[in-house]
Amino acid sequence: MTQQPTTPRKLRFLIPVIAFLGFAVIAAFGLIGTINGTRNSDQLPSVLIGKPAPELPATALNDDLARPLSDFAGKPVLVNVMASWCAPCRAELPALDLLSKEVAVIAIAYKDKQEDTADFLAQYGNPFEAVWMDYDGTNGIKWGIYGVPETFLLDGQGRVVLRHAGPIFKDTVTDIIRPALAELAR
Amino acid sequence: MRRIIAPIVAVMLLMGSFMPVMAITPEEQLSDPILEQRARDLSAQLRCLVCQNQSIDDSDADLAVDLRREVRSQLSSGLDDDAILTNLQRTYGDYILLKPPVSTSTYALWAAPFVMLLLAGLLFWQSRRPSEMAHVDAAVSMPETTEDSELAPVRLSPRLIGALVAGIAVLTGALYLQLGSPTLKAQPIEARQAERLAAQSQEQAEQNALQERLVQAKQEASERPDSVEAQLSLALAFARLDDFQNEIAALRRALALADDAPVIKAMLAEALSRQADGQITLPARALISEVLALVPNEPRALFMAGLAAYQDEAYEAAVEIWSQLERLAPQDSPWPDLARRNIITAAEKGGITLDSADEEMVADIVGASEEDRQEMIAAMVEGLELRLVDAPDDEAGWQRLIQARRVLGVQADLLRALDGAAMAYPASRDAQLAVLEFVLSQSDDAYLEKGEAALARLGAIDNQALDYLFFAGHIARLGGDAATALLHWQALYERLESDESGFKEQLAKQISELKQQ
Repeated sequence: MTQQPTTPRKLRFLIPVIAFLGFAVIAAFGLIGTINGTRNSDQLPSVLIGKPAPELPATALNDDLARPLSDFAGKPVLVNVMASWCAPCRAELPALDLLSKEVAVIAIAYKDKQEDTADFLAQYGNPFEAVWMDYDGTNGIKWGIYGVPETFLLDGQGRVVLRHAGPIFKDTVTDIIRPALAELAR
Repeated sequence: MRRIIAPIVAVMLLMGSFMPVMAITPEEQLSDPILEQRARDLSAQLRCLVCQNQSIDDSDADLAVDLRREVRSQLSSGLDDDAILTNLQRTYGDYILLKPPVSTSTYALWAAPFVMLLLAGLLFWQSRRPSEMAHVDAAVSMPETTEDSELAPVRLSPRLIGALVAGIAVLTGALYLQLGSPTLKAQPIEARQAERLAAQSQEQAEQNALQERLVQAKQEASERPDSVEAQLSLALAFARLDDFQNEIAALRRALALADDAPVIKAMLAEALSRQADGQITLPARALISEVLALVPNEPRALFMAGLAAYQDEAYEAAVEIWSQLERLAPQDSPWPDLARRNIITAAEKGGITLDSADEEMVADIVGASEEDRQEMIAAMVEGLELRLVDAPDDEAGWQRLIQARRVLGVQADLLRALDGAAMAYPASRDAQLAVLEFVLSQSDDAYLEKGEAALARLGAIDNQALDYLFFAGHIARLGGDAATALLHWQALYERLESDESGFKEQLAKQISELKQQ
């Protein structure tokens, strides 16, 4: 009779312990994932998806690169928000160059100076068909920019179908952009 | 102690609560105090998206400044608070609102605290009842002393606490081993003072030497404006000083002087990338593919091509390119080593099991049909030859090429290799003799021209040497000039002293044959 209540009581105390350990394991995985870069907590879905693309800035880098979105009507466009002061933007240029053979790629130079953007493209290469200047970041807010680089894929109707925050590398091209382009082509 | 700490903590806390006010700079503020107050209230509700749970009102981040400006500009244009919040919500989503709205996706979030409270209450209630029962039982069977402790609604046994502590210790230990660096040695800065000073002065001395070299290189380049070498050493001097701009300029001049030589083009690509902190830029990539189109195995270009693939996170391609470099670059150059190291890194990054990749490479050659294998080897030798023609100063490379050509057995190819080496090293007697021996062994007029050229170079080294006289006679006879042949051989005959090997006797026979002609 005295033994009977002790067993369930012990088990009951195990409940919070198990709950805590479970939480600790999940947290540890999250921590390791964040540090190893396998888990990216920055990748928030854009609310712009499915909506018409916000407008481009009013001024372009130069007259040759002053092509408005309407120039590309009916075809998908990749809008890359970049800046000359941003190192990852430099790193993603080769991948963008690769993509420029498959889709029109245009740039919004975010919080950048005209001459800096021009120097940047002269030094590292220019894969863009148009480069628009968002001098003070006002236009970036309309696109919901957190920081550079960010890239948006627009469909033929000018709607946002994809947002990618952070630089584009070859695997981004093969795993994310190309599948999205193939989806649009269907 | 507490008496001292408490006021400090209090002051720090107070400072903390005042600090955020500083985030807004005076020029941001609106002149209308009512509008400004609305702006402040709105800002306090908006999340600084790039911060950890701060409002844009509190943050100094650039994006927060931009958003504050946006709020104020929309306020000035007459929008009401809700419209402004909705506008921002439309581009940044609910996340921009510090207080998440109640919607289907946030029901769980809002309900969670109440659910937890309910659960806690239930647990507490549950735990009270059996313990009361236990208390009754205990009161019946046990002495009075345990009564107090039995009354506590929740009581962990020492064993459980121990298990808990041990569990946490194991978990944190595992995390530390995974993320920390337990093997890192402590290196207190004072203990290394002398070492640091020595390193500093050495660095200074090196820097001075580099500056001196640069001055010399500049001098040389101005004295010999058409010299590719002068421009290259100038580029090197700039590179050592991390002056990439000038290095690139010097390399461009060298490239123009050397008619776009692929080797220099590859160097230029490397310099462009160094200027971009190691990033293989688009212009550099263009140069690399130009080089590789001309010289498929140019080691520097191959190395950079591998790096470009690596930076694209195309690790398999990088491993493949670097493996090619490892196999084809001269073994005494730094390339194979660099390639091996990079292959390992790339394989790790890309999760590629190297052994199988190596096996595949070997299998490519071993498993291929005899015909394919020959083709592969031929392609490799071809690559080696192209590279040597381009960059002839590579003795080991020439030796390997000659050996490979010998094995492949196409005589014209072998002569080309021998001749290339002899031209690359005109001061090497062995290189010239190798050509001459080959020409004589073939006894073919078609090769005579190369033989004569080698003979001329051999004569330039020493035209009184016995082997020169010997080959000069042979080449002259092969060319049909018996008189010259006789002249050289007679001179050789007179200079030969003993005749243990019977060579002199043989020579005498040939001389008499010549005389008869």
